[in-house]
Amino acid sequence: MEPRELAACGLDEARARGASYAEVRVVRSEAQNLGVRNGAIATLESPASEGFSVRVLREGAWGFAASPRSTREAVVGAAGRAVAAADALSRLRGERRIELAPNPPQVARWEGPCGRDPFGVSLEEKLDLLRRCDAGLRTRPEVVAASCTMSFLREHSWYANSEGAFLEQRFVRSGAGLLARAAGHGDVQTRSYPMSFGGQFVQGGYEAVEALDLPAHVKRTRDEAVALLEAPPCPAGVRDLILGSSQVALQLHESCGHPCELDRVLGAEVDLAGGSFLTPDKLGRFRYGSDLVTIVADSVSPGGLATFGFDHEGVPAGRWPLVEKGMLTGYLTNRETARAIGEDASRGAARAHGWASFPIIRMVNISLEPGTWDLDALVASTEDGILCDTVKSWSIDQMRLNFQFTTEVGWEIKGGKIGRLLKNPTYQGTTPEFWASCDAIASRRHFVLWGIPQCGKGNPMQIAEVSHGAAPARFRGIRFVGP
Amino acid sequence: MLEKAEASLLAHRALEAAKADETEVLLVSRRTEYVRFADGLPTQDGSVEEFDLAIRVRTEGREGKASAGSTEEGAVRAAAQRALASARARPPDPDLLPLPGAATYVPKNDFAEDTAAHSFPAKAAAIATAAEVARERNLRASGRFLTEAVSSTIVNSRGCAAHHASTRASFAVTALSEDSEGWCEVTHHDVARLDPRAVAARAAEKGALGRVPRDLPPRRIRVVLEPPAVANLLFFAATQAFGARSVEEGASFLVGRFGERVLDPRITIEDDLFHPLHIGAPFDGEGMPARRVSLVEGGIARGVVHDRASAARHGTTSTGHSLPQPNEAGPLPTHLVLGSGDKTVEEMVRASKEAVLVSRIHYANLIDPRTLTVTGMTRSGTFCVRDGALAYPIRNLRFTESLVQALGRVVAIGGRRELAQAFFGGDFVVPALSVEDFAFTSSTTF
Repeated sequence: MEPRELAACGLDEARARGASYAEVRVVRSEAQNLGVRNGAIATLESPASEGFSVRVLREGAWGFAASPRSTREAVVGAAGRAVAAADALSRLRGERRIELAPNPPQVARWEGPCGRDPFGVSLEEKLDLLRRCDAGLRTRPEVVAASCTMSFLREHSWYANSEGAFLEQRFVRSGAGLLARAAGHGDVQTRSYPMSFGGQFVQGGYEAVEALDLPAHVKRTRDEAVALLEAPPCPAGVRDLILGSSQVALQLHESCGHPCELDRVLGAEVDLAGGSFLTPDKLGRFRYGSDLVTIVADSVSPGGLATFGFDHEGVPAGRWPLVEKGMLTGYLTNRETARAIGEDASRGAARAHGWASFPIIRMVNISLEPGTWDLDALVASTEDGILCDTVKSWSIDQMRLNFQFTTEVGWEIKGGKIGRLLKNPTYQGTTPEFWASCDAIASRRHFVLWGIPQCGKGNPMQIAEVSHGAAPARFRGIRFVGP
Repeated sequence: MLEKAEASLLAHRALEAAKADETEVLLVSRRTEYVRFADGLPTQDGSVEEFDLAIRVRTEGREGKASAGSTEEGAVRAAAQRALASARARPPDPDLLPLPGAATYVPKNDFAEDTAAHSFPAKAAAIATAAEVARERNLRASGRFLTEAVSSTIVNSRGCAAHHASTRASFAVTALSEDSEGWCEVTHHDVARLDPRAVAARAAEKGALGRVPRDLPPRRIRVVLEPPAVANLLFFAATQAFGARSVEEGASFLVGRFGERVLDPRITIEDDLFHPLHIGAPFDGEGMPARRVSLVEGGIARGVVHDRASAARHGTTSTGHSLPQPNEAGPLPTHLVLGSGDKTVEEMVRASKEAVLVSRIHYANLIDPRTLTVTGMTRSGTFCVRDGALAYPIRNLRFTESLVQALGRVVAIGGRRELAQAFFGGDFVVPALSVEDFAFTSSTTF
């Protein structure tokens, strides 16, 4: 069945079986994953997926069912299973029924940007680029593993609900990266370009891969991995910290994005991911960071992995502050949680992984507004500090307060000058104190919208693609954990 | 979930759809039903049917792969064509091994009809029980009830043909007060072996005991790690040390130390799918029979797991630990078992003058692969032990510790093992452990 017909059939069946609200999502996706590792093509695969889900409300409880079979029989069956599940679970809810914030239904189409279609670029061209980079990374004997990867995704989805919405959306996502792992002196060290987690990803076409200019960064990636083997470990102590923009992105992700998810705040994720220290009583009153810290959520930034026309509840994309001049001002919401805290409308952060997952609150693009500093001036004005870059290890407690992060690389700063290379720089802090110590943010010239295609949340786990815009920033008096 | 006859038919049809020198088809079908709940109320649920049909082809010494989330003829044919197109785009690979032929598999019985048929009303009843148990102790119950039936079928053009169906049931309860959290999760292939009231009671006991936590300054101190905490640490050994690739690339702490004592002599670690608590197919991602592998025996490094490619490089045979090929990770142990001792958690507590009891570890992550230095937070009940008894609950602590060193400072090993999951995934059959001088490095405010 075609998506429109499938959706109509699912909505009709759900209503006929007593659903007070119903929605159907149909998703078709195609991906291409390529990887060259140590001279061999380690990954060359083309997964495709198609399926649909039906979500209903009956007697104030959710029911959800999904199937990869695009047939009338399958959608009728799924609608029946969803209603039956809601029926069974509604008895637990009693009078505490789920209600949704209003959302005027829309009929619309949206398509993300794509210059050069990555699926139209020959495999030969892509593999040749990866093989050249892999060979370059392995020209020093200390490099025991080189990994060069590319990944592309094309998704086409349809959404319809019983309120009259019908939405069609398409996007293409592209990305690539390099990794060199060196071993020697009883140690193993890794360097990545342009960041960890497989590199940089954007909504867009193959031009995004070309813009990374991977071959130009092979030598530095390789040499820094090797140099780290003999670098001294980052010493323990309290110093100023300058984070590179991709590490600021991780900081935003873990210590702002996740704790601002209102489902976490209200306890819906406590069984695995945890809760949040940003409880509703703090909204508008809590000092999250210094006056310089303004963090914005948006689903409209060009190239963002969480940029869309409408979320998976049909709520239109938008832009709003989570933290404004250091004060907590907003949350990431869906229709259910927006209603629960008395907001007029959802912010539009309900997203599901593929067709088989229940939409939950996911980060959109979460970005730190840039400041005015030039990075060189930032370093020059730092007397005793460490410049840390590229995520290596990350851990944070279930309320998103105590964190400890390690970066791939650090450079000592003494008297305003970059000095020796340091391995395993590990810093530890508590979220509001850390952001309160932010006293300088680099300018828009240094701002990068980093794409992270594998944020995990939910139980069963779902993967979401998100972006974080950031420029390098300085934090005063941070505790470094020694070796 | 596809039954054996239908899955085999569909897999063989896909095999024929690919006109290649060699072809492999791996078909996984899954039916998952779950309910999540918070404060006793259902918040999410799902009844989800999924297929993953992967076709790997070889033509003129070149390999390509594609997959379809469907078993429909058009989708399968398209996947076969994409796999062939991928193969033709690459140069020949001189290291490519022929696909394996037919093999004999040790049967594993981990399919339970009552799990496959478990209903939403039955899940709702379990959740109501958990809410009631928690309420009796002025706690709020959250959690998840999941049941799943999975069938895996692998066939190839050299005669390999294997099929396995398994089930999984998991009930997890978090019991919350204003200042404490207790948790318990039990997983078994047979839902009849789950006792929702017992799971909830265990979570509620921890939640009640954890009220009014105090600060304990972070420092090195003896620790008693309950099985879920041990599983979260062992995850990093599984992914960073016990696969052949980690050794080849110099990242494993076992490099150059096989035959030597690397851990406490009471530590024995195996990968053993056939342990009665483990769940999974008795063959790996390239159709090789799964074997039990001794990794550390009496503290002495014995071996790592292999797929066919790594085995060929090392002059040995596959241990049946391949992920679906090709992959970047190399062979991995996915069914670790840590040998048991003879103590109960209570005895470990009684034997400690001063210690910290850790119920669960949250969001641990690796800092250094060679020493398996890991940092993470305690969660769901952390207690100060004084003079052989639980003295008081404490606020959660961060640890930063080398697993290799910690497993050289073992005080006692638990006699009872359980199946536990790591935060980042994976199943582990593990006992409790007591370890001396465990490094807690900072604390939090709850």
